[in-house]
Amino acid sequence: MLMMVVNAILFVVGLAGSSSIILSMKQNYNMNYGAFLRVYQSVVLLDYLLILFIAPVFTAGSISGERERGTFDLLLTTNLTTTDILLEKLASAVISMSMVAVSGLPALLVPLMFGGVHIQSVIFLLLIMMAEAVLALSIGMFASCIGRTSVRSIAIAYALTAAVTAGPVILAAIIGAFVPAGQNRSVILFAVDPLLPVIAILLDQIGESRELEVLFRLFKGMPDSGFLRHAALISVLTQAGMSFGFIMCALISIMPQKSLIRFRRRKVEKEESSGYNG
Amino acid sequence: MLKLSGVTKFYGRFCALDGLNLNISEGALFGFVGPNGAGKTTAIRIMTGILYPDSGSVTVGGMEITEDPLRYKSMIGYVPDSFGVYNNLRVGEYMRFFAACCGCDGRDADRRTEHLLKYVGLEDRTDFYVEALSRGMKQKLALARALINDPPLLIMDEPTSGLDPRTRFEFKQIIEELSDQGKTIIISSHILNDISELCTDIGIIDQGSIVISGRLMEVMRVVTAENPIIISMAGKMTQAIRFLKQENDVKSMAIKGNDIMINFSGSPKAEADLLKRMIDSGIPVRSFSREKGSLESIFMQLTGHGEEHTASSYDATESNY
Repeated sequence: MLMMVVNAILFVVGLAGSSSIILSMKQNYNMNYGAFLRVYQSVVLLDYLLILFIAPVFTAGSISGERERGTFDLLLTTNLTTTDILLEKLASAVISMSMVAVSGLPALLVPLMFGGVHIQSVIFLLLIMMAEAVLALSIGMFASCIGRTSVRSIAIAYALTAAVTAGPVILAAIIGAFVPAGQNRSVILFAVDPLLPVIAILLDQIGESRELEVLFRLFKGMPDSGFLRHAALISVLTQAGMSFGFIMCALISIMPQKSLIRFRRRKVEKEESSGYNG
Repeated sequence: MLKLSGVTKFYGRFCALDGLNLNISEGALFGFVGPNGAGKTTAIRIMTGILYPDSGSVTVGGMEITEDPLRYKSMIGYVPDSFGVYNNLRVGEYMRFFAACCGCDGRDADRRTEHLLKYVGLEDRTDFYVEALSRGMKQKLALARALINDPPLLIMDEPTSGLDPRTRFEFKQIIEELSDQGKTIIISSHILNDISELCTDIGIIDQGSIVISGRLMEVMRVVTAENPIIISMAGKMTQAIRFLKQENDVKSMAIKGNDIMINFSGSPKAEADLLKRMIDSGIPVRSFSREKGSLESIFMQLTGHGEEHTASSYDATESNY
């Protein structure tokens, strides 16, 4: 159902954009290939935003939902550890999310009927989008572990995703307002923004990679050429680290490991103190 | 089988368990009772390995929980007060899912599922969705699920609450059968009648620590040792009252019909001696026994409501001396 809705939206946008270009082409007898690439750009960004919007929901209810049903305690009494439960739920969400992303591939290709971008490049972009979706899924998982109810977890997940996506942009805009052109170093924070790698690759695909520099200049920032050249890679690696961090925080926040660590620490402290006394 | 020594658990500054000590022998059918907020659920969560204590030790079959948590947990079956079911799964799927979680899959899981569903009387509901089951059936399913890896220790939180009389009876029969098979069973319940009917042992918890524990009969004997003695008379009431008034060990007396209730502070030997002297004096004593306490009265007495109970029981007397 979700896949159908996402694909329907993408197809409508892709077909509508492409059709309007073809219609104007018929009237002007002028073939504008760049316009198709812009439609492709829009469809990809829309697909990516939809994925970012949907992803937190996939995991936000996973642990809190188990708590609400009263099944989380039961899972903890089986051979499963909290790490098993968390990683298996994450894996299941990644698979579901991948299905949503992959099923959108035909819709992404509609505006490319006259060429412009190679299919391998589109698949590569899709893989980057899925990697980025893992960050959103990890945020959802973390929210699920700290939120007592599914509704609260979803709200926390969206708040965190919005903070990660819009936070660096807002921060860079605020700092940019007070510093001279080219002096805003906070634009490096864009590396934590899940939008950056997709935008960077997309601009590169349609031959407008210099637009990224324009984007940084817009915020009065001028990162070095190395950062600009490898912006997508740096961003993907940063966000992979963030995903790992969120998963670790989620694990730490769940009982009983948290207590077990404390229990073992106290025991060791007790043994040490009794040893000293003895 | 299960031993908790000096178990302490804090939730922030609130002390939920304060040096809890409990020793449950193998094969016991143990009733775990206490007022709301006494620390029952925390203790049960610690016993099942869901929660770890801040200090103290918990052992099952001599093995401490921190040694090998997975092996520890495999020795325990847990039936929570909420059913803990996935409503969108079928009964068979639900059982096989938990079998897989316990490391049992394939034909072995199918065989266990079939056997346990038959055991609890749900064999004809295998393909039903869990949400279509009644409360009693869900509770039976929860019990079958807890037995999926054949654990020697079964912990049940409020297993019979909210069940209709027939299902409750059936459920109690299953518990008795499991006990006869040698399983150690811990039942936490507010239905004290069920506890007194089913259990061989009992532990009463209040304010995070055990107030009393042991064999049910022994606990009742110890707690009721200070209950009034009821002397049923077959006549000569005035002579009996005069006689009892002269006894130093008789602290107070109340009369209800042909019964005289006395608070006697003497030893069991002095108690026997009193009866003998009454008979020797020609007082027609029909029966002479300590008032039998119910589990409910013991519970009330030990969890800080004893005074209220005593007052209400004496309200029923016709006259007090």
